[in-house]
Amino acid sequence: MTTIDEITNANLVALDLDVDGPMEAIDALADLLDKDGRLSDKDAYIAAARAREEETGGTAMEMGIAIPHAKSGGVKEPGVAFGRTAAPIQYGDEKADLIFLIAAPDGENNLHVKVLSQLARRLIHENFRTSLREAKTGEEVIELMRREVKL
Amino acid sequence: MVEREVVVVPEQGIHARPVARIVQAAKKCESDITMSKDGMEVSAKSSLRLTTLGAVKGDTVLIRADGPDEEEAIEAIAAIVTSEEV
Repeated sequence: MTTIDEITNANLVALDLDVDGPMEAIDALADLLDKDGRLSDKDAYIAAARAREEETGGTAMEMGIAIPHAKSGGVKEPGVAFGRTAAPIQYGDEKADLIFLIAAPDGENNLHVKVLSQLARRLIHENFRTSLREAKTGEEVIELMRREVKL
Repeated sequence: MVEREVVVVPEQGIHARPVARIVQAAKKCESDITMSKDGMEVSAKSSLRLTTLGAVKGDTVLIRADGPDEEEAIEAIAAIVTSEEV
């Protein structure tokens, strides 16, 4: 069974994400995944995530949340990166300040959907969103995810 | 109130594009529309809530619609859930 610690860590958290739009957010968060050794082909992964963003008309949901994601041959190890912007950025038709980027290798269908749905289940709760907005360190975010998100 | 059980057809399950299409169709309807799986029932007008279902291809989901345009609503949502992505 996959645990939160296998798919994310404090190096994959950017609490002061400074980006203007969805594509920039994807680039910045993919960079974290790459530096953490989870991507074998960063460009291929970014292309897949950007394409997904375009074909869905934006992965932003309500409540300030966006969860861009892609499966790609450019992914070595599945991972989740989290970015928080100081003010909500325009994200398709919505606005988002809490952005999770999910990367899964090709064929990893179940894990991908599981991470997405379990994350969404916590994110509908306002106290979880507030805790993410108030977290002061990356480690605090990871601890929160460990405690709240059951995979 | 009308309800219908359907099997999820799109390859990617109920997330990403299928979710976007369901929300778009549901918001055009006046009726309350929900989808449920394994006893969990959520509004079809919220992409975050639909994503919580974690419904994959082959899963059975229950669609419910209640309101003045419930028949049209259930037809529209069922059509998206049961057709291959174009």
